[in-house]
This record gives sequence, C-alpha cells and structure tokens, in this order.
Amino acid sequence: MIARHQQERGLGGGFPILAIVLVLIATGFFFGCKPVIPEGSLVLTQVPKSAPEGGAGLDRLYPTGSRVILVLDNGKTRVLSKGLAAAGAPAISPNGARVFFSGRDGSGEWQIYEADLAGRAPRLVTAIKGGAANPATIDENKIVFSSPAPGRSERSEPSAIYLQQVGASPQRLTFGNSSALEPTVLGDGRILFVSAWARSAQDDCQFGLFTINSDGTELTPFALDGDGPRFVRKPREIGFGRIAFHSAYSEDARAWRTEQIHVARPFKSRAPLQPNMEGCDSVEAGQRGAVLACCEGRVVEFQPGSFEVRERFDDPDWREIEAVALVPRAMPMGHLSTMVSGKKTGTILCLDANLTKSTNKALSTKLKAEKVRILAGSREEPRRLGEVNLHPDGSFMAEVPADTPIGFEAVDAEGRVVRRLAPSIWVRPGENRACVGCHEPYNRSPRNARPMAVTKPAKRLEGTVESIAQK
Amino acid sequence: MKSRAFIVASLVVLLGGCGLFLAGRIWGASHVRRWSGRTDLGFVNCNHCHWQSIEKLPWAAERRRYASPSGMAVSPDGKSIYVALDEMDEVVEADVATQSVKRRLKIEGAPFGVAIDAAGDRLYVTCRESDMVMAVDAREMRALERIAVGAGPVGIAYASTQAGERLVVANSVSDNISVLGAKPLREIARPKAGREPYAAAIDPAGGRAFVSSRLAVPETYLSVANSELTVLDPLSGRILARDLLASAHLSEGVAVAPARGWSLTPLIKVRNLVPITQVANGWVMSSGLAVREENGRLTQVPLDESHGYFADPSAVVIDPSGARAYIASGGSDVVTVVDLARLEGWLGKACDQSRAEAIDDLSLAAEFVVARIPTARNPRQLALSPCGQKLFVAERLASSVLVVEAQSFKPLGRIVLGPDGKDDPIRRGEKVFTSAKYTFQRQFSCRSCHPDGHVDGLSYDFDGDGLGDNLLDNRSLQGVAGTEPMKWVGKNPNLEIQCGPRFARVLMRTDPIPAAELSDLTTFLKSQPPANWKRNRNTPLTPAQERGRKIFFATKTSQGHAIPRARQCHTCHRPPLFTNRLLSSVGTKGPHDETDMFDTPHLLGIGLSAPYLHDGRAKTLEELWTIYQTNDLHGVTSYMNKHQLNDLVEYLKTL
Repeated sequence: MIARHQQERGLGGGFPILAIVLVLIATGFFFGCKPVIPEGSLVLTQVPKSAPEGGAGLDRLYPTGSRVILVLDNGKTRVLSKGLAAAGAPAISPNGARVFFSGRDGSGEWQIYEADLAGRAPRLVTAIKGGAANPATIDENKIVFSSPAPGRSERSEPSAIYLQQVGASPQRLTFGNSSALEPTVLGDGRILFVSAWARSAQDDCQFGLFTINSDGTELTPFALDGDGPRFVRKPREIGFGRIAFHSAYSEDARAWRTEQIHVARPFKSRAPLQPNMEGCDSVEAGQRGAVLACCEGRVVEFQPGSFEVRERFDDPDWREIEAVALVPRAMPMGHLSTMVSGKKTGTILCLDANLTKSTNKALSTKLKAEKVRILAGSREEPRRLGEVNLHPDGSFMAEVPADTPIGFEAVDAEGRVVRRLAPSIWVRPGENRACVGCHEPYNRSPRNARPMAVTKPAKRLEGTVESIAQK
Repeated sequence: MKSRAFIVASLVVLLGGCGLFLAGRIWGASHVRRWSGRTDLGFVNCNHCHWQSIEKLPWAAERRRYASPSGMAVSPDGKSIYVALDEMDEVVEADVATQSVKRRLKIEGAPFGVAIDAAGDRLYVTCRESDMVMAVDAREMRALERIAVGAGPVGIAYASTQAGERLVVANSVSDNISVLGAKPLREIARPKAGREPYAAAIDPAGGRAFVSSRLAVPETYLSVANSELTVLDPLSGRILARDLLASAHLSEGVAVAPARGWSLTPLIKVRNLVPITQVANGWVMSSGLAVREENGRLTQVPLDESHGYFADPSAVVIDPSGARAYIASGGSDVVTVVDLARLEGWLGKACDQSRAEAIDDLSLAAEFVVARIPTARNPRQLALSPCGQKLFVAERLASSVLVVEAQSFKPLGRIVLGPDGKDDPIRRGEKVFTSAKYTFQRQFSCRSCHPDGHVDGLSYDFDGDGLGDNLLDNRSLQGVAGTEPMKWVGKNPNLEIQCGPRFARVLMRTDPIPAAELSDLTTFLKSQPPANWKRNRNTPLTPAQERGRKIFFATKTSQGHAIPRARQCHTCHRPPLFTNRLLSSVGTKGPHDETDMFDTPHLLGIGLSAPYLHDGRAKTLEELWTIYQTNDLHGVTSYMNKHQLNDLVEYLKTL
C-alpha cells in the first residue's frame, strides 16, 4: 500500500534515502548545527588602516570600525563582531570552542560579547555599569574581565577584576586602590593582571604584575614592582615557562616593545622576547610551542629563541593587532576556595614585620619596628583600624575587615613610621592571609618556625570601615 | 472482617517491631556502657567492637607484584645494568646495547639496593624484608653468600680501600648502619644513624662514607626537625660527624663529588611549623639539595623555581668528572641537572647570610639548574655508566629504566622490565599517591608527607580550624583500612572524603582529585598493610613482650586492684585492629586544642610511627605514660614500675 502510494507520488525507491538525509539534517539542527571550525584557525582583531587616531583607553586601542574576525585555515574570513561599532581583545575558552571579546555597540559602552562562530551576531555576556574589557577564560563557562572599561568611565574609581559565569552575575575579585587591568589566566589557575597605581596625585602611574586566585584570595606580586616601564600591557603565558608582555616608557605608540620574563625567577629575568622585535601589538601562545604575534600590522609566528619568523596572515586593507589560535589548551588548574561565606573579616598573619628586602642591614636593625598600625580605606586619607604589638620574633596577627583596602605602618619604639604600605592589599571573607615579612624579598619561602603571634588569638580590628562589597 | 484482622495484625507486627527495635537500642546502649565503661556513649554500631577480622581487610589479601625497579648498578665495562626488583624478589641483568633483560636471579626478601665491586665480579644486594645482604656472582648470576645486617637494609655503597673492600649499608628500620667487609662478607661495625637511614655513598679518596636518613626528628613537636647526615670512616665504622640538615626530610639519596670533596643530599625542606595559609611560595615545602663541603660546611640550596616545584627529590648521582649532578624527582617525573661549577661559583661568592637563606630563595635555582629531563612515572633511582655518558633512570611505577644520553639529555631508549599495571586499581592508585600533579604548582605529593604510606614524624598547623590551633600529628596511612573515621577528631567518615574535597581545600588548594583517580587512590591506601606487618607476623613473643601483652589485657593492677573498664588498654584499643574507632578523652587536650575528644588510633605498626598523641608531643611510647599521662586517664599505668612499662612498650612494638 505504501509502496503504491510512493509510486503514485513519483517517489519510488528514493524515498528511504531522502528520509535518511532529512533525518540527518534534522539531527544536525537538533544538536545546534554548530559549525566545525578547523583546529588552528585564527581569531584576529583588525583595525581599519584609515582609522583616526585619538581617544583614550579602549577607544584608542580599538577605534570605531575595528572588528574581530575568524580566519579559517583555507584563508576565508568571517566577521564575528557583526553589528558592533568596535571590537577587540578576543579570548578563547580552554576547549577552543568559545570566543569572547570586548565590543562596543551604538550606545558607546564596552561590554563582553560571545562570538557566534557561524558568523551570526554576537551575544552580549556582560551588562555591567561602567563597561567591561579584556576577557580571559577560566574554564568553558567562566570569564574574568576588568571593569570599568579603561577610558570610558565617568567615575573615578579604579578598574577591578571581575569573574562571571556566563549567564550569571559578576563577582568582584580585587579590592585595592590600584587599577587592576588586562587579566589573563595562568596554567596553574591564578589570574595574572596588570596593576597600575600612583604613589601620589602628582606622580606618574607605576605598573606591576600581580596574581590572585580565582576567588580573589592570595594577592601576590608576580613581577615588575613599579621599577620598570611606565606602561605595561597584555601579559600572556606563552609556554616554555615564560610570560610575555608589552611595555613602553612613553605613550608614543611607536615606543612599545615586547618583553618576557621567566616564571622560574620573574623578578630577575626581564628581557626582550626576541632581538629586534618591535612594533608588536600582541603576543599569544600559538600551536605546538610556537608564539603567535601581531607585528607591524600582520600576523606572524615563530618559535621562541628562533630568528625565523613566518607570516600567518596579512590583509592589506586592515591592520591586524591581535591574534589568538582557535585551539584547545590545557584546562587551567582549579582552585577550591577557602573563603567562608557570610564572614565579614579575614585574618592577616605576618611572620616577621622586620624582615625587609632592604640591603642596608644596619639601617634595618636600627629601624626596628615594635608595633604595626593597620590602615584601611583610600591611599590619600586612610583610616586607622588600630595597632598591634609585634611579638619578639617580629610576628603579628590581626583580624581585619574583608574586601577592603588594607595598609600598614611599621612603627618603632619612638613612634616613628619605619616602613609603610598604603592601603592596597585586601583579604576575602574568611581568608587567612600570611606574609613572610614587610616588603620582604620576592619569591621567598617562610623560615620554618612557629610564629609567636599564633599562640594568642588574633586581635580583632574591625574599625568603622565599610567594605567595598558593602558599598 | 478479614481486612480488619489484617490491619490489627499489621499494627501488632509494626508495634512489636518498633518495640523490639527500641528494646534492642536500649539493650545496645547499656551493652556499650557496660563493656566500654563509658557513660557518655549511647548506642553505637556493633561493628565498632565486633565482626572485625584482619583476614577480611584489603591489605591482608595478596596483591599483584610488579617489576618496579629500585636500586641499580652498572658494570665497569658499561655493557650491563643490574636492577633490583623488590616486589618480584628478583635482580635482573639488562643489556645496555639492546636495552633488554638478559638474565634474572631470584632473591627472596625484597632485594632493594645494589652495589657492584670494582672488577665487576660481585654484586651486593640488600634484602629489605629478610634483613640480609647478599653477595652475587655477577658473571654467573648466582648467589654466593649472605650476611644478616640491621633491620630493613635499603641503600648500599661499595668502595675498594687500602684496608680492603668495604660495604656501607643503611638499615632503615633499625636506624643504624652496617659496615661490612667483603670476601667473605663480615660485619665490622653497626653504628647508630638518624631516623630511617636510607642511602649510602663512599668517598674512596677521602676515606669517608655518608649515610642520609630520610626522616627528620624534632626536639619537641613545636621545634624544627632535623634529619641526620651521618659521616663515618668506612674502614672502622667510626662516626666522624653527625650533621643535622635543618627542616629537611625525605632525604633518600646521597652522592659524593670526588673532585670537590662534596657530598650532595637531596631533601624536602618542610615548613610544618608555619600555619598552612597557602601553598604558593614553598609555604608547605620545597625541594632542595644539601651541599656538604670538605670542611663540613653545610648549605641547602633550592631545586624548585618561583612558581614551579619538582617534588620528592630522591636519588642523586654525580658524573665522574664532577661536572654535573642529576637528581630524580619522583613526584614530578623529572630528573633535574645541576651544573656543579655554577653551584660552586655561587657558593664562592655567597656570604654567610645568603647561604643560610638560600634554600628559601625560590629564584636561586636558575643560577645552577641547567636542565630538567622528563621521565615516565616515579623516577626514584639513578645510575651512570662508568664514563658518565649514559644516565639510567629507574621509573619505578612504569616498570622501566630510561636510558638518557647524558651530554645532550636526549632519551636513547627504555628497558622495559614488565607490565606497568594500567589495569590494576592498586597500581593506578599508587601512581596517584606519588604524583604531585594534584597540588598547586605541583609542590608535593601524598608521598611527600607519607613516605611509603607511613609517617614523616611531624606535626602540622592547618589553617581551616584557626591559625596556631589544633596542631595535628601526621598519622600513618599504612593499615588504615577498616579504621574509619579519619582525622584525629574523627571528622571524616571515610578515606574518600578525607582524600577528596576536604584534602583539596585544606592542603592541595586545587580542584579535588577526579573521582576515578580518587577511587584508585583509596583502593591503593586500603591495600597498604601496617608497618612491619610482615616482619612481626608469626614471630613468637619474647618473654618481655609476653609480659607486656598481659599488662595490655590486664583487668587488675599488679597489686590486685580492679582497673576500671574504660581505662583498660584493650577496651579502646580493641583487637584485632586495636581500636574501637570511637572518640575518647584521655586527658591530652593541649592549650591550643578545641576539643579533648580524639579518635582512638589503631596500634598496628605503632612501634614505627613516632611521635605519638594527636599533636605529636610524645616522642616515644614511653613518654605517653612517663610525661604525658594525666591521672591515669590514658590507661591505668601509675601502678607500673619501669620494667613493667618497658614490657608494655615492647609488646606494643610487636603489633
């Protein structure tokens, strides 16, 4: 009966094949019909060569017309920032399947978008006041970014790092008085970011690289402690135990150079990434140990330490300023948070407030601190939370408000301040934060000794400071 | 009518059942009170005291054995390498050129360390479980003679001296050193060493031998623990020096750099006295190398980097020219190469303070570490060909020996000794246990604190329960199956929780170990018999031990007074596991403890798991009752004289 019906309609024996084809197509749609992107494709930021100079912050880096595109291995391109006025700073999820980037629509506010690799309009991921910039991925569903977006906020508050699960609300991770910018996620799971601060209102900004855990705990200097260039941008882990970044001593766009540090000794290994390598806008880890860079408006690839540079892509009508390879990479190590939800304080334990990196031992001995004054709030007008006496071994322990910039003044027996740290560090709720000394040498492990401070309960210094989270 | 009868019958059965249940609970609670002598206990599960059987425990079952390489020695012509396979009770000879096993020799008693004489005629093999050193004809591969040494011999070194041939043997269980003469084997001296002497090396030119002890011993549980590097005269066995390596443990290797007169000892620099608020910056521990110069000056230098660690450094070898040292990091699957000229250069210009602080400066290793050679799982022993051209790496949990071209660090191939046990959860679990990849920046493995699954003898301050509070003695993981709950306060109901999320949060500071690997890990841990189990099993008690056994099970004092049931040893430490797995208060609460209720530890292998009590304050078993006894709360012992106490301790050591 059915066969006769098919013959009547002229379908004949071809019907089962057609049905199978239709089922396959339907199955493709059912599973999202995700495009298969060849591994090794590139995601680029392109800036029109005719783009006017000027603006500030992201507007200067990514002028109107700049876009994020996908370059397939056959050379074909696909615009991923369709419908946006400007876009840049692409970041790839560890599985190599999702692309996030900073984008600006007609409203003028920078936010984070997720690209549709099929070429449809991107999806808005963040909607945070002041804008969001420079996404980096922690896993397939979590991004970190800085906000407010540099150069666009009318508020004077410094940028902070936020973490957001896609589809959920952002959580603030940094609480210092310095700007926290351009986060990237290291293989060990920590977030590396650029910190910029001024010692006073008249001073130029100082730059350093710092790390935090993915819950904002354990703020730690990583490299460059205000002792280097005036500007630092885009730190990236490029493999072979190296971090690359861009630095400049002036705002001149031609003055940027690309440097590297060895993770084995970050404070003692700063050097140019490649000899004579100038005019580069970005450096990222490429495929098979290679480094992918955008230099002089084109995409190049090279092996670390090799002088042989291979061109990967160049569009004569555009200037390529950022390139990332669309490849899976090792998932960063996770971090099980030790924070205590609902707690409003954390604990600071210093093992020896008289241990400093000062090489002048005589001066250090002379200026021996007897107690520590703990400050909170702004750099310019910090409030005193209280004082704690140092134990004979130099240790002290105090319970301080969480998520608030905390600073210290080491005070000698005559009341003189012998060392000072303006409010700039913080503890997260329930965090036990310990440090080896007071401006101690970098990358220093603690001496194995039980600090005398832990033999008594921590002094509680709650003060009246309102935490940034409460604000 | 029928339905009403059914309902009534059901109610009767239900009420009867409930009544029986309640009566059972009431009887159970009174039974517990009666036999425990404790009024604070309600109903507890019967299996705390009954239905325990050693035979049913996973560690009592025979486990699969693997060709896991331990000690190695290369023939003087460089053509053969001899490898001890302790699990297989074998020593094998492999052909270096073809990278294949040529001959096998069965040697009972877990052959572990291997040394070869200058002519390549004789092999000397330590047998860890039979407490023997075996001489083997290397050309015929047959046993020649054997000699009893101290307990648990592991490391062995050979040297030809003017006074004759000498062997120095590290006896890891009896904590001493056997100095032997060869042809025939004879013991010349047996001096005392540190805790668990593990490796030996002889400097034939300098007439000195070095023995490193892998466990550190603190003066008190709140003071820095030191491991001992014993320096002795290999001719007479006379001790020349007992150098203390501060805060160093797991020193499982030692090597001599003849050209410089140095000895090198890999170590873990442990920071157990600092509250564990973080892992970064070597906060918990870091790897290092102790350099002992000819004048006896000791300097510890780091092998780790600022943000990367190379856990569990064990073996060390130095090439004949004295240019390079190679150190195997069993937790990181890496061999670290140290340029000794660069290290000498740094030492030459370092001031006293720089030397003292060197081990804590994680940026220093880049000054002298020139390469990291990747290996398969768990490199634990190293050997060099006589000219130093080839490096052999015993990859213990891969059942293979990696051959490396020493000049270029390029792998030349691998001698496969047997299957690596991918299909065996116990073997897979051992790989998890010994790997540092689960901790932040790969700083340490489970083995770093539990060598061979046992103890490191140290107390730690975890920050989750307050900084400075609740110090915890590291407990043995051997014989742990069936002794749940875990932790000194009994918080963790089983190993899966102990080693899973809680461990990740408290110590590893990373994601928890994935479920499948966690399952393998706990399977491995449960397969571990108590320390000394094989040695103690079926050994008849001595008269002193028998007297001690009677004291342990005594219900009356020697004066005839009844001992309250709650204070009889065997009430809480109930055989066969010698624990009732309940929390008890025995008057040991310290000033920084939140509670006085602690888990009753099992006593199997207790003789080797010092220190004692929850915070490790008692250095010896004797101190439990001579110093830390409170009003006879921890068993009634006040009636005992010193001989009775000694007898009790002797018995406990047999468990």
